[in-house]
Amino acid sequence: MTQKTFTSLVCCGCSCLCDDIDAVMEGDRVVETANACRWGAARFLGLKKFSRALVRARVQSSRRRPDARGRLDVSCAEAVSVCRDYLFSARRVVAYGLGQMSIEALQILMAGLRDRETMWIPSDGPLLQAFVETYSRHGPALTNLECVRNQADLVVFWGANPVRSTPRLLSRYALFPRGRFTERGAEDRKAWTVDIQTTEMERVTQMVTIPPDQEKACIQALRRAYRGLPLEAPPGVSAKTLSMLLGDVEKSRYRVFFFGRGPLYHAGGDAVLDELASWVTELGASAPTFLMPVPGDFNSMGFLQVFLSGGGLADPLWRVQGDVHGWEPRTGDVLLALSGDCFWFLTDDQKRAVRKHRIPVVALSAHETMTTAEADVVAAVGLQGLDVTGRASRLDGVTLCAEKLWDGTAASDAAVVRDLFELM
Amino acid sequence: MRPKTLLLQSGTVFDPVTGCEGTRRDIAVCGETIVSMEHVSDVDEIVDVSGMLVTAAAVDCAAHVAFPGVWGLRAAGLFPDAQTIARRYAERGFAHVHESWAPLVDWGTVQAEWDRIPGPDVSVGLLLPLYDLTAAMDAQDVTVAHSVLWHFHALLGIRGFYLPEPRVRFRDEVYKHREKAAEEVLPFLKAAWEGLPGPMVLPARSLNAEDRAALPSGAHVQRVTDLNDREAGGSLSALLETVRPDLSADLGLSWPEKSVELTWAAPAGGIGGRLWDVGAFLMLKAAPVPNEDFRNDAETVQVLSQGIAEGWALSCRHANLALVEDWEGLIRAFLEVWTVRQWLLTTRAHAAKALGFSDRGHLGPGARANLALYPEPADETPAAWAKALSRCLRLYVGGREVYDARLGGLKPSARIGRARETAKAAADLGVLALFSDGLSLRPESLRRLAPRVEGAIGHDSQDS
Repeated sequence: MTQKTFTSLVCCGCSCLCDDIDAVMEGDRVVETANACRWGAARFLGLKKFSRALVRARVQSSRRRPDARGRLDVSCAEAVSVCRDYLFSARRVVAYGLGQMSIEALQILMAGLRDRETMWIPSDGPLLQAFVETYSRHGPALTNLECVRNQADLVVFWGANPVRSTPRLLSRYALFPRGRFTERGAEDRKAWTVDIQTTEMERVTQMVTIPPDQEKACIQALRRAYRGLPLEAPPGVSAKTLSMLLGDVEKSRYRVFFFGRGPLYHAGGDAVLDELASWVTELGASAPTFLMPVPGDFNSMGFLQVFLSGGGLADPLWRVQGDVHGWEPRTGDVLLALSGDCFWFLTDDQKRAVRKHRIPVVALSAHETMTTAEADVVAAVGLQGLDVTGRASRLDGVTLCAEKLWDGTAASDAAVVRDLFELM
Repeated sequence: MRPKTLLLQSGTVFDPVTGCEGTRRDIAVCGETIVSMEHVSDVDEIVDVSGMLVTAAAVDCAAHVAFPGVWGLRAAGLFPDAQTIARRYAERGFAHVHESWAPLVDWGTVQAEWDRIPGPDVSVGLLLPLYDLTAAMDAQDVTVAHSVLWHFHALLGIRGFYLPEPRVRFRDEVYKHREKAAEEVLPFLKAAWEGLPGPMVLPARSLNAEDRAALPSGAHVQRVTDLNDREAGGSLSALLETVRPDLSADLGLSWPEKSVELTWAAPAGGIGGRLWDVGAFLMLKAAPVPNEDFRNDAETVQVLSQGIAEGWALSCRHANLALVEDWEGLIRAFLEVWTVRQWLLTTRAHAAKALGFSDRGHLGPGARANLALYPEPADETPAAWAKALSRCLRLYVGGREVYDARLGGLKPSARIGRARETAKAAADLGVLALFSDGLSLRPESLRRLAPRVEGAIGHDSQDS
């Protein structure tokens, strides 16, 4: 079969949105990729993210579930019509996922749910919610990954493990690449990881491990020492290591702190971010210093941008629920599972409550998941950057367009969402 | 299909450019363009606008609305959402907003943000890190630089070229020995920009005395009262230097309100505040607007009067004119110093001219049908005029009504980018690759960011 090579494709595997992927196609499938990380390659090749020997099952057709056991394939229009009926009678819409939808779809979705009571649960919710709250109190500066690559001489990963969330962040932007003023790549940068446990990052950065309950104290100790007071390392943290970290902070001229979801897994995580943002703002008085979130989903920042741009914080009927476990299912809810796998994360109690209150589950998905297995209606959508074209925002907020590779029949999420609200 | 012809009948027309200052007459619109009454035979729709002021719609020529990092300001509650910005622009009668700059890497971000703001026409200026052009500058090869800039214009539909500062600075510890001064950089860039649409824009804050002397003709000084050496005692003389007939400028009026301004500030000497690095060695800083009133400095007002006579446009220190909350108060303050005619000139004709538009800011035949209709003032006092001019009743953009105050404000069809410059040429990825050293984005990604949804200015593209 004739092979065709595409270059400089955008990968929607994670929030790095790498735009340098080359792919070889045979017919309407990708058989080989170059430059992609393992996750990205798996997405292009249609394999599972963590076990590349297995094909990742696609939702082949839209369907509905007429009864507890049944499963009836329907047209996309019919599936959308059923979704519309559920939404029409909903007292509250619970929109889960969102971070793997296109910007176009998110815009239509938010316009459609205007004036409707809606609980937004983005799959990167804890991180996004914490950042929004932090920005309302502090003004840590933002930068983009181009500038990180070109200028950053200190990168600190706080509670972030890019190897597990954004695999090419290190190689394309933050640590290894040569930039305009970091001509020697990693040699021109000091890199640190601060985490509660040793991670793979230890191989490529210096590592500070701290007890979970000492993260805030650790930042406070660094702040005090930065102001010239004696460094008092909190219990369980090496004073010598902290001192080395502080020395690199003092010597650097362009610092970037990447903040991951790590600290937010435990109570008090918000306070850690708050303290870090406050310190970053303070550090900004002496040299450019930036704080950047590291979300996992490829368009989490797109969701944040569209939500804030659309006045989401001011809408009295809208609420962002960072942690899906904070959702208490109640009668009148409709669960709109828009990308992601909501049921994977729900507790057993929540699942029971969904069934008890007969909460309709509506899924828009390209892949078969636990959620699509439970859903009352599933609308099949195409994969962005493969089946359909769509825009997304990288982790630094830079918006890119992922073009489709072939002309298939798969509907884009934007088209499905537009149909959904057109007649409501 | 024949374009629709619309007749706005019996309005009180104020258009200093065509000499109408309270004349009762009809305005005819054919498609997206204002046409002479003599050329109108069949009329599809007649709108009675008697009792209303009919003016060309206003132009915000110095706006920062969709800059990178705006989400951070929104999260902090310092920047309104898209709908609020759209509503404010519409109820003030603005039908064109010029986003002063967008760096290449953020082109898609800016486009996506503007997609969410319904209402006015949009144009966007280009911001390039100048060190990407230094090889051409060293060789004095204007042709190469022109080719690069032309290509970006053709691909991305840019209008205007924004320089955060009129020099090229290299990072001290790496390139201490190299710096290009304004007298070297500006003439070269002026020649490279020749023939491309829109002005070369420089923020006043970045200009010192030598830089001002080197400004090439046709350059535009943004927020002129924000000159960086004013506090050093050169206030009036510094301002006077900028009143050159071959330069355009916008006023940058100081207006006491809680808001933010966006400024470029060098990292040296402290860089507190909210900052975004946009690729040059400068930081974009969002800071609270200083609590000043332009009327309190008589000498400056005198110079501004001279500037307005020379064609300066309205702008405030605020990041954009939609951020001004007390719009009526600002108009009243302006009219206590200057005239209604000057208000209309600074917000329309001068602003359009500063951007290089000959078809905006006036109601002459051939102009784009961007019209704003206001109630007539109760009397001739500044307060009455300010009240009238701050409450647009109807706004037409490209001949289409996008806002009606009495029918709920912005219409659902008030889509953004109805007129937005679009790609005019196929991408030459080789030229884009010149910038790949500073960018980690592939040239192909830049090609994909080219505006492609809407038609070119002057073409119907609402439903595309």
